[in-house]
Amino acid sequence: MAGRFSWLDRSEGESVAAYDKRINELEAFHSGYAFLSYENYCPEFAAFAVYTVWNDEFNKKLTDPLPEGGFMIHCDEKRAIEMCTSGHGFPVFVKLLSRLGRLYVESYVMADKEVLFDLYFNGCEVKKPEGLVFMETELPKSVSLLRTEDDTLRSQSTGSCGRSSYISGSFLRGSFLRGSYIKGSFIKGSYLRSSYLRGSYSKGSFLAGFYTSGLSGSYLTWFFGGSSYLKQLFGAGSYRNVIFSGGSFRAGSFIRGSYMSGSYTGRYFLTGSFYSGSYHSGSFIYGGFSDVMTVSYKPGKDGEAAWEHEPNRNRQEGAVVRRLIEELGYGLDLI
Amino acid sequence: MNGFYSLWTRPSGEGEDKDFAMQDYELACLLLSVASYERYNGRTRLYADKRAGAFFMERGLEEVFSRGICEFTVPDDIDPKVFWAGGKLYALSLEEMPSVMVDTDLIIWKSLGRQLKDKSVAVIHREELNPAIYPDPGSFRMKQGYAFPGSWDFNIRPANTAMLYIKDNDFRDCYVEEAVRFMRSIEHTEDNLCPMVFAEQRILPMCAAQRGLSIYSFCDRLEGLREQDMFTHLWGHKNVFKFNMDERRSFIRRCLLRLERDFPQMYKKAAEVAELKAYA
Repeated sequence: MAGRFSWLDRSEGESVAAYDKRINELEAFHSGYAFLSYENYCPEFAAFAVYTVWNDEFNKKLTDPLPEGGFMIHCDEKRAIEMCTSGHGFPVFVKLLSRLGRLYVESYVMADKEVLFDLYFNGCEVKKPEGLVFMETELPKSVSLLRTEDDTLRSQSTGSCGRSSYISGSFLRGSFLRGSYIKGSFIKGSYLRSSYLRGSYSKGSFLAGFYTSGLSGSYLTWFFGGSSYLKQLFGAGSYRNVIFSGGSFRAGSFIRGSYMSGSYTGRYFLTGSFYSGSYHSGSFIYGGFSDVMTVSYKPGKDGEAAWEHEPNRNRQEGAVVRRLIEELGYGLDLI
Repeated sequence: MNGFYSLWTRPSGEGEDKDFAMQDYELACLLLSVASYERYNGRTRLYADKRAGAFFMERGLEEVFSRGICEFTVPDDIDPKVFWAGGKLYALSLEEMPSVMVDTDLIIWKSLGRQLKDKSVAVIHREELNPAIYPDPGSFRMKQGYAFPGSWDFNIRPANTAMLYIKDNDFRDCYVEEAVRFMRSIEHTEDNLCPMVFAEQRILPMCAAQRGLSIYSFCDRLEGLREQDMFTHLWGHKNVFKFNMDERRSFIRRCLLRLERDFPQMYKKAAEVAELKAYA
């Protein structure tokens, strides 16, 4: 039997180059469903971990079959509640990529009628929603995920959407900026996602990246800064909110986050729901921490702060740190 | 100080009839690792099974390892699904000590000379005895006739061997023999974590203690791995590269940029490889 996705096979006599070209020119197509449950939504960061179910025949053709978990979208709480109460899954479209005859997924979107959500894999945890309902849902009329491989924005980029594998410039501003490499002396935006981000001035409401390193400057403020690996947060910003950040924090007047790991040598104010690592000094350190260890401020003889760690009795100390290190690796910023 | 890598392709799950191909991010990381090791530490060799060796030969990468590529085999009775890292132990048995065993997804950025001086055994870091990962050895179903040596202390913390230094052949033989004996003596199991880490990470420190050797570790605390500037280890982050092409591209480009800047000779070779050409 041919199967629904047999056209993804390399046909007899088709060269690897011809196959790559054919696949890479394909439009995005429907390949699975995303299921949403409010227990996987984080309103604080508008982050929604989604449970995905893939067409099995399609999935087996990929070099690395897609997992059910680990994918995330971002949306506001109102939209999240609406989608959770819809009672069905949302179609997921994929744009394929073929390299040397091997099949990968280039990008994903989840569709709620005509509204498309950027779906991306970051390995996040997701709880399987109960009672998955498969039913015909209204598909969007068109989904365009074709990207320009070497599209480059230089010097100045202002607009509602900037998406490129390399964005560099002295002034970058937009409501949506996404790139695998973003560098600039001024970066401002309401949504910014990058695997490599570096700038001397940055301001915005959302920041995410896997290797957000060397984010520095005299002014630095993000409503939400999320990074799997964030190292060296410099500057004197008035407000910082960091989640899932590991590495070394040095100097800052206010750092706040729900998870922070690493060493801290700053002096002013630090607060978070979970903190681990080694800490050296701080004039005021606050924590209402309940996970793994408790951190509290204790004035030292010389006026500098000292830390007290109280391991949580209900959880094995270091288990979370171990999991994060295993999943994220370490020293990736050294490359 | 000599170093070596190993590639055993049977755990990759692809049939023997199919060509083996490293993923582009794996190859970029390995080339950077070899370049850095050869600059700061010494000469390298790759122990590769037939298919892995062919992969490097076809791409003209055999000279990347200054001590060349050495073909090795892992016996058929070693279950590749359970002992997916078993190839490392067989490669270790062939390498002349002292030498450093390096995982293909690990990069060592500095000289190890000062730390390894006067050490018998060294690993990258120690592990906590988490019972979910390191259960009581009594829980393993072993074949008749196998018994754990009575002198083993099961309370010793495991040692992570993403990087392993052993000074002499004598201790190497002791460790490999016991690990292989364990791998060959376990009854069929679907567990692909606990038996593997027992063979690789627990037998090593128990053998060392048995011989009165202490193990040096570069990081004693897990948190310390985040703060050090000596090692890059992809570890589970490879899963993100599998399913997130933006991250994958970014990582490979960064590897190539680093090669171009600091290791131009290796960059030239990398830029000619089909898997990496598009990123160069």
